[in-house]
Amino acid sequence: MKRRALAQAPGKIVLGILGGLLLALAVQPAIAHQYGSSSSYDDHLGIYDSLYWPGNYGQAYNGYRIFLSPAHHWSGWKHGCSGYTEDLNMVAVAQEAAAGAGYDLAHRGYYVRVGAADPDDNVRRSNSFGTDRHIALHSNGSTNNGPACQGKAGGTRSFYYRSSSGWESPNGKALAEQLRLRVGAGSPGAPDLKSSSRLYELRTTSAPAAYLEAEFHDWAPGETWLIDYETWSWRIGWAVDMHLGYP
Amino acid sequence: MVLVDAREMPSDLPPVQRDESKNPCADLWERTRSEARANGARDGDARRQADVARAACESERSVTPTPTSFAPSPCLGDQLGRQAPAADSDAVYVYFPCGDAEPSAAGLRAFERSLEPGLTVEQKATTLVSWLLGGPGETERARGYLAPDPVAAEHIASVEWSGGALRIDLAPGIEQTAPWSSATFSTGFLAAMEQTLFQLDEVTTVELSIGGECRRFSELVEFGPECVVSTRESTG
Ligand SMILES: [Zn+2]
Ligand SMILES: [Zn+2]
Repeated sequence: MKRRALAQAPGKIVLGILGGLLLALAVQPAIAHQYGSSSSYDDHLGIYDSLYWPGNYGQAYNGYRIFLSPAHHWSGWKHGCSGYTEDLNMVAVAQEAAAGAGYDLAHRGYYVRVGAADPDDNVRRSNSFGTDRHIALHSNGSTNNGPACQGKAGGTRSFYYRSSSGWESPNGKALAEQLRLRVGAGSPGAPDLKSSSRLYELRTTSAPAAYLEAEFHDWAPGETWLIDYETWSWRIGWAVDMHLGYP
Repeated sequence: MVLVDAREMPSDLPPVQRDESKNPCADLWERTRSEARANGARDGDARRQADVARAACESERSVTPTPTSFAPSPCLGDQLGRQAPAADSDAVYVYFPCGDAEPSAAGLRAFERSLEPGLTVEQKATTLVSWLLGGPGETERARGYLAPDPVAAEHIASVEWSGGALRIDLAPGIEQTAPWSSATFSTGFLAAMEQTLFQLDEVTTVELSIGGECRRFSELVEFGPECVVSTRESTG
């Protein structure tokens, strides 16, 4: 199945999970629950993280492990213009960035794990994976009614950890800055570097982390760009390579 | 419940059909890398050359979208946060983030309001929270301020204050009043809330919950399963 089709056919995938088509899904990315953690979807039954070993792609391991944590909101799916669903699109972005078409992280020699669970579970898995860099992948919103497509902001926002007393994660900031530069240069709006002391995936990961809000999904040019992830997901690999000095 | 582990992805996934017209520079990446390696470059240097070549090709071939710039939000020209009013005054400020210009207290803009005299701490806090959730007026919204839909102000279930701790419980349904899970919105709102509520000298901590569960609020804003407790010291 085309990954594009995957991102645009959520109903099909959910039915697939419910129907127990686990074998078919074993080689497909995992999809977050639509209705939030309190729903019965939260057991994540049959949903697996994906591991990409560079040796399987004919590459030498460069010694670095990357954990990609695509949007999987505790409170359920988030939507934008034209039927866009953040939790589906960002899974597709993660797969493409991990092992897409040759210019991705696995082909650059990184050992990549794509998390399939809630953020707290993903952080536990990332910490036990021995992750060197952790990247949460999201798309942003500025207005309540995303599908109405009346967003007031555009551009990549790349977040790093900064404590309330002002301590900054140096590697987290450097990674976020590379994501701002490389992904931001490819996105339609003006990019910016931001910090937070609160975002869970920035404050609880053992590895330096960045939280990428790739573009605004309630702004039409941003949403169009987000679903065209095949053209820009390679920039995540570029950012990681730049940050780590092309190991 | 954790039943999930990881699966190694096979390297022989069915080939993904790609729209080559959208990726006219992808092959260049591969070509540049293998040529550099054939010329004796180490792989890292070969990748670096490939990245530079692809990025240049993409901007030349307009794969990279033409940057769309937003007109700067008019609110950027508004006055920044002001000093808290004198203790004997009824004037207070309600703070709102101007777009996502800077989701920190320093970038918030202040709106003057006045509280009725003689209110209890809980009544003052309730009024401030309803102003925060209700957002600025239509004119100001049009200037670019970010705030929940005005109906959010109707979702205050209870406000309790004891020993300096302020607990604000919101009614279920508040989830549908703002893009709470986006990092831009959540960081901006929390900064505005803290700056506004800590004007009350009697308040030392603020905790938000939904339907009595603080976890439900903190998970909504992607801050995690623990409660979000704002302290006066950590605000600023
Ligand atoms: Zn989940
Ligand atoms: Zn998100």
